[in-house]
Amino acid sequence: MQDRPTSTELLEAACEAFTGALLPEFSGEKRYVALMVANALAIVARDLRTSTQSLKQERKRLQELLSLPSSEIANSDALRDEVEALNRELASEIRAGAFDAPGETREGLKTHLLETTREKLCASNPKHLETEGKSE
Amino acid sequence: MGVTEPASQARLETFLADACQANSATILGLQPLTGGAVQENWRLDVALEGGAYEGEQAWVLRITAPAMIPDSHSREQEFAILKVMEAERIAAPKAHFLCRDAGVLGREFFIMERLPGIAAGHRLVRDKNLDGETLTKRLAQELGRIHAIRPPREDLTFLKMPEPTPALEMVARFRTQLEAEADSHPVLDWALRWMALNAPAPQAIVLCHWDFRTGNYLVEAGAFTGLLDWEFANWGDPMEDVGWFCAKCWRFGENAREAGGIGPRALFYRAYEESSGLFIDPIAVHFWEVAAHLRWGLIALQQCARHLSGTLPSLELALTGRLAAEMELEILALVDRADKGRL
Repeated sequence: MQDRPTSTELLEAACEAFTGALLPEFSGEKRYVALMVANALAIVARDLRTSTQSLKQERKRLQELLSLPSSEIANSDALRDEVEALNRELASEIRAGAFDAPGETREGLKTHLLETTREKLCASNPKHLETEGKSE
Repeated sequence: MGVTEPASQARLETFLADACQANSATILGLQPLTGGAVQENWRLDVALEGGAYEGEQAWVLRITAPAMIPDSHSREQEFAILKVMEAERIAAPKAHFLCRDAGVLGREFFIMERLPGIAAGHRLVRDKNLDGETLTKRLAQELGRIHAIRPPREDLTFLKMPEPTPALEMVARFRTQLEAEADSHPVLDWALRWMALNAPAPQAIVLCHWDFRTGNYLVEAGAFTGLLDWEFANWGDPMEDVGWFCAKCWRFGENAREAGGIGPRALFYRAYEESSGLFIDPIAVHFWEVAAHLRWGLIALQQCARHLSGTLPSLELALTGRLAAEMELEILALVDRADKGRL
């Protein structure tokens, strides 16, 4: 087992140092690049905190939607492959019209897709979620 | 062969002198203009001696970028479209000279007028001195005038008629692009399925700009000076351009101003109907807004793939991949609104 800090803790410290001490020193094109680097680091820090949990939740919902038995693979690479395979199946069901009719099945799919998209945005751009629905 | 290399500049000067029938052409300045991930635009200042363009000229050099986005026209075709805009008195840069000879700068390019103003969308929507309502009306009028250009046209024979309809052709095109993606994207499939079942028939086939949005027109001291980036223009459903302009992804965060982040949607609709003689079909506009977010989502995936494949390694393109989820969130909201009959 690695000594502390964990990857997440170390990355968050690097993020803070970069944003606090370095970013204000840049201007023009360099500032634009620096902002992108800060954004990428922040996304990865949030990914590290949430991605395994999100993937497990997504897998559970997909297995329910596709009427498949639940599985317990926890290794993160295998988990990603498993969720990708489930998503591939879901996409092909959508294309085949399995969710066309109004009703519980359709609403169940919409709820799942919304939760999955929100989980992605929680890591990629949480600010975007805050503004959701404010225009309508 | 870089545009700014001395040898390139010398060849460019020779080309310009020939094109202008001048005794000589001297480049005074050549700098990249920001914007345009697809093409490269350069700010070009030239001094000419003799000929019809004698004196100092402020131009833009527009050259094909090394990595092309599918569906965009060649520079030769875009040049022809700009010539039509000039003839129809649409506010767009005047196209001056086309160079098809790759021996000059390595790629095809043309020279066009440099219109005054800024295009940057995020700056424009936050400009407190901007009269957004006047600008909204002006843009709607111009779009209506563009949509008065109808097929067939002798000078636009390279444009293709959408088959069987603009909406169904778009569904087929998006399907091909989505199937080419390495990973699955159920929300984008959801959008595509919804589009296939809800494709509207067009009320007319008109010339669509296909990138008519905030960020692609110039504003100088509050006034609209011209529409840029004609590389996607094609025959289509007039509601395509209306949906693209009003789509949330082009409001630059100013979501309450539904017409391009600058003005009220109803005002844009009214001015467009007066100018075009067409009517706004809210159901069709809604369809094209779903299409807009799917289109943007696919572009985000394709841009990211250009980074991942090593074609054009760039942190900006890599980060663009993460924007697809923002488009997905809006797709889900738009389809849900249609399900609830709230259009």
